[in-house]
Amino acid sequence: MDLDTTERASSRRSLFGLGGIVAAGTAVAIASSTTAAAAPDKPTDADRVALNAAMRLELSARDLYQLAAADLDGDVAQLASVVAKNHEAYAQSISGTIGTSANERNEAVFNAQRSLFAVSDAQAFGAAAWTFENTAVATHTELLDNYESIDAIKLTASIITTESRQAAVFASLAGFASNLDAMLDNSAAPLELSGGAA
Amino acid sequence: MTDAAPLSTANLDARVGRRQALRIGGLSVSLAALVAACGTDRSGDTAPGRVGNADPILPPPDYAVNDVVLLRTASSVELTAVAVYAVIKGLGVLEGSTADLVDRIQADHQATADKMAALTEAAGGTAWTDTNPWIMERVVEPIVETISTSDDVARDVINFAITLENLAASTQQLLTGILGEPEQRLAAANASTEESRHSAALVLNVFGTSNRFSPALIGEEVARTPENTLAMYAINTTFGSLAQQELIVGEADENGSRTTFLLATPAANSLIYEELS
Repeated sequence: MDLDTTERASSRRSLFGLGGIVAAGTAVAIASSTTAAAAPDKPTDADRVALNAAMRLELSARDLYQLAAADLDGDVAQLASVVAKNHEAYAQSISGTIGTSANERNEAVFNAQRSLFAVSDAQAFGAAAWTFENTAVATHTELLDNYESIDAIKLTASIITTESRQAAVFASLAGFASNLDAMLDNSAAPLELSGGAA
Repeated sequence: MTDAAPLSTANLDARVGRRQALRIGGLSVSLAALVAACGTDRSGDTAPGRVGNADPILPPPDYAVNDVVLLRTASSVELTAVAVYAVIKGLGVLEGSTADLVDRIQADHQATADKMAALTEAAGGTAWTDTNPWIMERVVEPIVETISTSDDVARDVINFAITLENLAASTQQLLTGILGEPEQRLAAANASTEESRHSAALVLNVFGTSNRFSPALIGEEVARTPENTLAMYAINTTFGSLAQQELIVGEADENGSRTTFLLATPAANSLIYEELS
């Protein structure tokens, strides 16, 4: 497996089949001039829209890793379960921040990825998960750039650090442990997400 | 009534007779008079007394903590990492892919320091181009000194590097939440994720697949290593942690214990204020 996988994965929108998903960026673009000193603690309405989209992405991730755990064996299955629980924790934390139930995944993301995660081959799973984690980090980071509230920024910052660790672990599982660019860089582009139903 | 036992508050009621009550009452009146005599017409410093000729205690300076200070501090932490890796490489215990990884990580820290310096100047400040003096003096130097006499320098160097990456990632994560401008926050967030990858890559490179995730994530106890050091994991927590980092290095004593260091994200005493040069 070579890094062409990364390039295929880098066309994230085709990968995730999200051409029809509406961008939420327009609603939060005003945040570019917000400073921390002036920023509100609690999520603004624009933040809630973006956070809801992020929460649904995390629920999709949870379900994809649960799917993988069912087909994998041994320590890799356990790894998939751990990462599934992490993503569920992210969804629940976002849910608590915006005051909505964490019960609706992003179906477009899930359906675009399910065949890549429902595999029994550890290396193939690693490649799919590596791409997914990098894309999740890129997506959260772009949302973070537009958040207006401190709570949204801090929560997102705490999520992307562990998702980056997960990306490195999956890069290694995919066979790229000796490729430092694969292990340490993230060339993925963010998804365009909708806060509403996909 | 006997006088065998000394008088105390526990036995006062039972043991105080009329004569003793008069004695106590007289003493109380005398002490009250003495206190009253000393309490009037007093003047001078009301601060606690001091002994010796030490310099007077001055109030701490009230320096502003703004984006420039935070960015300078970020630069200082990154350059501290660069300096630490220079020391580590000088010890000559890293080989092969681990040495290559450390080279790359060191270069990444220099690039992040440069980015933070540019953001500092963009914010109207003077870029900080040196290590963090407080962290170097209070943290790095004692750790390096301890490692230099260790029974396993290579083991301690790796654990130090992983802990340093965890600290750097925590620092940048912290700054992401408090920097004022979106461009600054984004730079800190990107540094935080990159340094998290550094940590995970080091763990995987040295300890392999058995240390992919912490046992704590599946509800199990996190045991010490057979050498009584902390086990390191690529995925160590569910959320990025801002807690202090523990590091155990050095030669074991007669009880098998090694020296423990606690590394915390920069605070008031380690910020690079604009008044520092």
